[in-house]
Amino acid sequence: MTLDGFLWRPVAAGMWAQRELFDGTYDFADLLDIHEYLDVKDANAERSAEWRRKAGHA
Amino acid sequence: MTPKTKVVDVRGQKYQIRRMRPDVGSFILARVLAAMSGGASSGPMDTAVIGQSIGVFLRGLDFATFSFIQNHALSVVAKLEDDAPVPVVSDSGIYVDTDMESDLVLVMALTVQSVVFNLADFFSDGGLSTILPAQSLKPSSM
Repeated sequence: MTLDGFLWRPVAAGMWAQRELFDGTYDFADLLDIHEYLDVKDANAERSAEWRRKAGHA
Repeated sequence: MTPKTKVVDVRGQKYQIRRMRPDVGSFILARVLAAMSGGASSGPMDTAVIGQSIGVFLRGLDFATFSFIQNHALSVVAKLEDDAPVPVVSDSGIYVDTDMESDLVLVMALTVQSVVFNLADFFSDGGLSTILPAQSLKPSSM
């Protein structure tokens, strides 16, 4: 992921509106927090998909 | 949750530092990482190391980039007068505290403190691993 992707990741994930990157709704700490949340969410989704594959539900 | 503000003491005077906008913080972070050019650890980094790295980064900047970063860094700094925060620069970038105009040491100290406060959590939490594809995080880390 590029660092431009670092800024836009919450928008791409559908969690923030584009304008909220610039209008003061969120600050840089919020960006770090949402990354932590999305990392955990992605890791859980990956584990869930892996379990489904192994269990033959894919 | 990541703390929103921090109070620092510079020569006996307290200043409150807030967080920068996401786009500004991300822009500065990109420049810091480029300046580190592979020298950064993908794991958690010590605060002192982060401070040193950012100090080296600021010294190596061209004038325009340094001015941009300094203006944004100081725009989130407020002088605490009777615990009431008073911005040190106006929206147009003029020093509200006229003593700062001739106090390069104070200006630089606040600039570095502001950048370090805003970026330190990224490095101390091992944030570099989140932009490296080979790394993954444990769900229990939240």
